[in-house]
Amino acid sequence: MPFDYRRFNGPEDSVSYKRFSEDFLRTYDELYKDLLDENGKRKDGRALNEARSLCTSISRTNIVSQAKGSAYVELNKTKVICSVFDPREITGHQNEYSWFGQIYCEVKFAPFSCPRKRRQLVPDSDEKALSADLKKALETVVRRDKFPNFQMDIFVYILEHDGGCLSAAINAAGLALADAVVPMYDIVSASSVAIINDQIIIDPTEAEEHLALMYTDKEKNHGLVTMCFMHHLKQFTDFRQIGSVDAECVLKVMDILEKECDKLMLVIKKIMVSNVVRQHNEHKVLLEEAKFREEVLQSKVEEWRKLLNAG
Amino acid sequence: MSDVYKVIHPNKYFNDYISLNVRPDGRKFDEQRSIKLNANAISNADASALIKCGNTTVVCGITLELATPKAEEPDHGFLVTNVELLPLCSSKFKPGPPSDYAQVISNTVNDIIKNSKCIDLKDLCIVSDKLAWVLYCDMVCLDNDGSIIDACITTLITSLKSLSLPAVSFDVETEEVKVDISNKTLLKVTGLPVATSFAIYQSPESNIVLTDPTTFEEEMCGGIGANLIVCWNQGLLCGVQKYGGGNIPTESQKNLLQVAKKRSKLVEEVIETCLS
Repeated sequence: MPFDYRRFNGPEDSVSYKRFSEDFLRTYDELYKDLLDENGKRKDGRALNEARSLCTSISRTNIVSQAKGSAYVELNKTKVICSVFDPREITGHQNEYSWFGQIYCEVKFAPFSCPRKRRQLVPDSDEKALSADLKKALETVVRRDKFPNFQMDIFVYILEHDGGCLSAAINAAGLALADAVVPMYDIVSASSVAIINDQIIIDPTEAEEHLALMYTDKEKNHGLVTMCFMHHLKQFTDFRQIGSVDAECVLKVMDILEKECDKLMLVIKKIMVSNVVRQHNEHKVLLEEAKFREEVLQSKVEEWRKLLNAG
Repeated sequence: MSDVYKVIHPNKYFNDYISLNVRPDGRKFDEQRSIKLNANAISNADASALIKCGNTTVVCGITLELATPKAEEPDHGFLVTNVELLPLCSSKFKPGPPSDYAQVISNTVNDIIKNSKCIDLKDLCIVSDKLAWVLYCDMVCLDNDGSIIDACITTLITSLKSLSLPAVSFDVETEEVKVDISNKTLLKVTGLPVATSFAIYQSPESNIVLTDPTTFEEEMCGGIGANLIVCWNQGLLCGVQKYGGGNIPTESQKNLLQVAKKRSKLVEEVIETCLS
């Protein structure tokens, strides 16, 4: 690890205390028993095909005052915040004129977001991969022909990681883009699935994702699938699958994910509508306040005018 | 209408308000914004706190790690504080390594925390010269609307106060470490530093001091962020920084310190009610 001169660094040999606790050395079978019981229920009480609900009262748009558009998405413990800024012109003589607008995405994890270890402040390959995925997912949705030679910045910050962070990031970015009034073809929604021992688990938590990737049995399907879907156009914008899964299972998973994305879309629409209503009400209040202030200013101007006329 | 005016003539817009003895957001000169505080919102972190001062939002999370102490200080633990100003929180910050401004903020926060001696680093040592706690305190700004240092210090102290350390057993012969997560003790925090930011506006008649400025006000007063930061630690001053801006009128100097002191008492109360 290169030394970071711009930040305060801890000692080089520091290790998370969780490494020395009893939980660290648990085997695959123990973890499996812990997460999924015999009745087909998960640790948090959900059924295998039950997604966490995107809470409409907590998840909202317009959360960062300095940004053009922003959104906060919370799926139980997974917390993601996203902000979008005004498009800015691409400058520099090396760049050729681009007929389509560019999208710049950056996904970052908070240092304290992951349960297993502390994330370094310097960006790592994991974050870069997520950024690239997010960019690919959004490029086809945004009407890039509307702002040629301009670049739009989308920043996503993962405050707490408890599974499905890519799909949460895409959902947040879609909401933030809508909040920033960026022209788009459709609403995007994304969902993820974990496959453990041929069992399909919808909207996995971090522990379940971890289990899906530490498989031992090569005969059975194991892996993670994330899909991003445009509801009205019936098109995929992003598909990511890791692990070893046979083709039949992938097709089955795609059908499931499509249905999940459709369900999510309704919630996303609801959040958008409530955002419009709230902004409309806020605007009304602001207008009234502005009116009052302008009256005060006007009276001051009158006063000065009188003074001028008098002397 | 006023939005357009603000963009075209920011100085005049600001001056109009100041000459009416009111600030653009309707506050008086020495009025602060309301504070919202929430502790332990992030369960993956060992301790965390979130603060909202007006629009300014800062999250602080603490992660615990174990390391061998430094050879020159064998009975001291580590307290590592960093402030991250994300490109997400304002269009002024660009992605990449932290800017000069971010480093200044990070350093100021570190100075205040280290010098207020609110944490005894000896408490963090488990076995002298062998094992000690490392507290990584990361403060992340999610929305930058002025007076970040105040928000950072308050979240940091709140999360430190809610932090509990798990019990550790260390075998001297085999050097084996065992951590018992179920048995935790609260960390001892002895001071309670509270910072208050001011911006000093040079109007033609006199210099006006604004308490708890927003980003727009900070910009108008032309400093690196806030112009003046006063930090009280339970009745003692523990740091005063002045970054550019106008000079402070002599008569208001005492008044300024009193405003900061009053605010420190208020923030202390807020922290107590949040943690109780």
